[in-house]
Amino acid sequence: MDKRRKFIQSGSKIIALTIVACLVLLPGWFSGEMPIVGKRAEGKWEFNLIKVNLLEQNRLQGEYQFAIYPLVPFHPVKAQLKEGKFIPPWGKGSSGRIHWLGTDHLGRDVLSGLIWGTRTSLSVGFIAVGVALLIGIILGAVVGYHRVYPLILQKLEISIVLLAMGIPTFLLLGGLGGIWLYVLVLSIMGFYVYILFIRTLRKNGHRVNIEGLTLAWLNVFDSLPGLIIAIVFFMLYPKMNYLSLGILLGILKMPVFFRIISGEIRHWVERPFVMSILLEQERWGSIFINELWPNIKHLVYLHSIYTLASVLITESTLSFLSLGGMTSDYVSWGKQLSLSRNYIGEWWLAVFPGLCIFFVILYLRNNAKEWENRSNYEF
Amino acid sequence: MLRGKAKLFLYSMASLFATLILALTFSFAFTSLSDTDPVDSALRRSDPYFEYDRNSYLDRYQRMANDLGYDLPSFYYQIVPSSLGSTALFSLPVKERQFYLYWASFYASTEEFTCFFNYIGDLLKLYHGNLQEETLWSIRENKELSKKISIMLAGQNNEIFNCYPSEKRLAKWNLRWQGSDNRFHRLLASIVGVHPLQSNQYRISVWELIGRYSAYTLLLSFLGIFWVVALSYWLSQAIVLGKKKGYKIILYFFDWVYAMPVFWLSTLTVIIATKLLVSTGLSTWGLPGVFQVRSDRSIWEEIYLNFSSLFWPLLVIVINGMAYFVNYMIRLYREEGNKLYVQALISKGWNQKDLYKKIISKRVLYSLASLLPLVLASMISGSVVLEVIFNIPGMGFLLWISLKNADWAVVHVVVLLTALLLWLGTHISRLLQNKWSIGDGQEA
Repeated sequence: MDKRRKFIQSGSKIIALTIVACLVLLPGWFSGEMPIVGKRAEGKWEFNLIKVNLLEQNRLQGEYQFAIYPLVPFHPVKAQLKEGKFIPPWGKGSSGRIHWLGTDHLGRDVLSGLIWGTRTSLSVGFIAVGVALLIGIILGAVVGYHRVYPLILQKLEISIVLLAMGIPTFLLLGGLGGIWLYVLVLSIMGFYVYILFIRTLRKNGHRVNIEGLTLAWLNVFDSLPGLIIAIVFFMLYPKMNYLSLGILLGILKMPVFFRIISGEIRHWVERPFVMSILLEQERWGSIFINELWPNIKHLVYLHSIYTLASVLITESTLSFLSLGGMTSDYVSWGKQLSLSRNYIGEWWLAVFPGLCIFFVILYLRNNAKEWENRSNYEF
Repeated sequence: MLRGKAKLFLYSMASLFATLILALTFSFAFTSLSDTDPVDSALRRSDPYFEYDRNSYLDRYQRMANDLGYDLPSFYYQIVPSSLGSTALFSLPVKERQFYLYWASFYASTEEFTCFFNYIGDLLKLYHGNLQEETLWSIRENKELSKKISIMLAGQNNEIFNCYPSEKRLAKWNLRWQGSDNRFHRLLASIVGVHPLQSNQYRISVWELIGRYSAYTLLLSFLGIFWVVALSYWLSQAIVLGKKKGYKIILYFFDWVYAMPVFWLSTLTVIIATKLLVSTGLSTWGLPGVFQVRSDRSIWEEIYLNFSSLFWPLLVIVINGMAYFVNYMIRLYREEGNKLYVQALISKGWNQKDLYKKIISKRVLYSLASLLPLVLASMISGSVVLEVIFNIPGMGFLLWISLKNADWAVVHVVVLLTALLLWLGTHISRLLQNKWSIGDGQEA
């Protein structure tokens, strides 16, 4: 019984993941207004994608032998006013085709929008997690190592690091602000630098407290409200696509990975087996890959699932406020849901996109919980 | 090497300054953009429906509702929850429709132009007879033309509705910091320097605006935190002591709520509330966005109405907050209950109920109290969604509306304030944790 249940569970998971992967990679197979047509010319088959209107004209002439329509033969973005506005779920439009999940105020099919929105929403999530992982792992590995073996820098090197951190800020402020702002910021920065570096340098034998440095910057990162920063970015650059949205959200979610990885590495580097390898003067990179990564990868996986869920929520919130990716081609679950803000009477605009987000997040959370139990890791 | 309190103090000061710098960097980035686009600034003129004085704009709503033959609640139901007034638009004659179109053009972002041009298309159909769908589509894609049309509509209606505030009110609000008698104000204005910290749209001081708007946000978040903590304290204690038999169902429900985004939860709440209350004609009580402040009511009536209109958003906050807090508190209870001293006390003959109520709950409450500043700050800074959906005139709503209208002076201050609040929240909660030695004794 248990085996059977397990088999069914894993099988259903595999089927669901396959469907989602197909939706992400090949949404055109499921929805769109371009059927695949085939014709036989000189004994060979030719396959093409063609618009519905053209097809109907050509079908009269009998040019094509067959046409395979997508499951949902409607365009996700283009307005279809003739089709009919606010058709409720399972209602027929003027074309005679059934709209499974109804239409919106422009006569667009909701299901078609959801299918194309899967690609956007999930790829934003995966890009964000990838970016956060990349930056978090590199920074975390370096800082975690230097938490145990403090970094020793000369004064020149310290000033280079400081300049690298300060230049963008100074450029931005110098370009935008007045002289007073410049003076204010210079004095604050001077105070900041004095506290964090010079004092510790004198007393600590030229050891830069890289832990304190990074934690101070991370505190800054944490105190900037992420959603608001994202909102403001989208008002400044309304034509961002899902790639740039993913990168931005990834940078905002980076501190989580950084904290976990640096803490874990600090924990593992102090173990004797790593110390012995360090004494053999092997390279830090190879130690990280061969010895430390196997010990922390389950944790990283777990947090990437949580981050994926939170990025999905952030993206849909942004598009719900109609702030994220405001080009007309942008279609995502959150943007589908944002229509429901204007049309309260039409419940299907709110329910179905919300259910999509809800089920994905529920699945991710349950998966993470399962993983947590399996790896016996307590938080 | 600095140790203890001095180190803590220095680190906190350093991160405060760094926060300020970054917040200033972000916020000053907006000010350079304020007057770049003439089209935007043409659209940025003040809104006939959003007069600053709440009494007067509610009166205006009332008058409009009377003109159109609606009663106020159904007017709110049809107009206010939708930023485009779309539900009512099609049922109106042309003149009123133009009236709303101005409103629509005011709020129309690039995304909402899709909606907007649907209406314009209808108008054009009315004027020019048959118009093809393809033409409409091409108009929508043509950004310049669309902007021209929106300006045309804005200008046309601006003549009809002279919506600028009166000179008397302007004089009252004209708190320009640069021309202020207060030396400190002048100093601040010269430091900030780029603009006189005056809102473009409302023509009043940003600080005054935020001061007025923050009232609802603060009220909502304090009330929300109170109910969330009280209810989850009661529920988690009941669950741990084994009083509630059906607690597993509650926990499953909270697990599901945890996976729901807040905006979906609140949209569903709005839909259910309107379906339940308005369409059945039961009551107008608790309608989203009904802030009926009128001069003929007594102050108690006003207070009652305001609190009752916060009912649905509070419900969302409480459900969502409890989904986070109940599980957390149960875990805290169990962790504390497994400790050695508890077992020793039980072996000495203490009653389990007394033990939980007198000793363990106190410790749990300490660790909860240390989290509260952080939760409060993040609630205030994350109130955009709730306030936009429920039309509550709070800080998040102000931020949203001023972002839509490119009112960078307001955005500047709101972002700065929220950053500062979050900083304060995290640091106070860390200080409290250090003081009560909660967690693994982490330093700030």
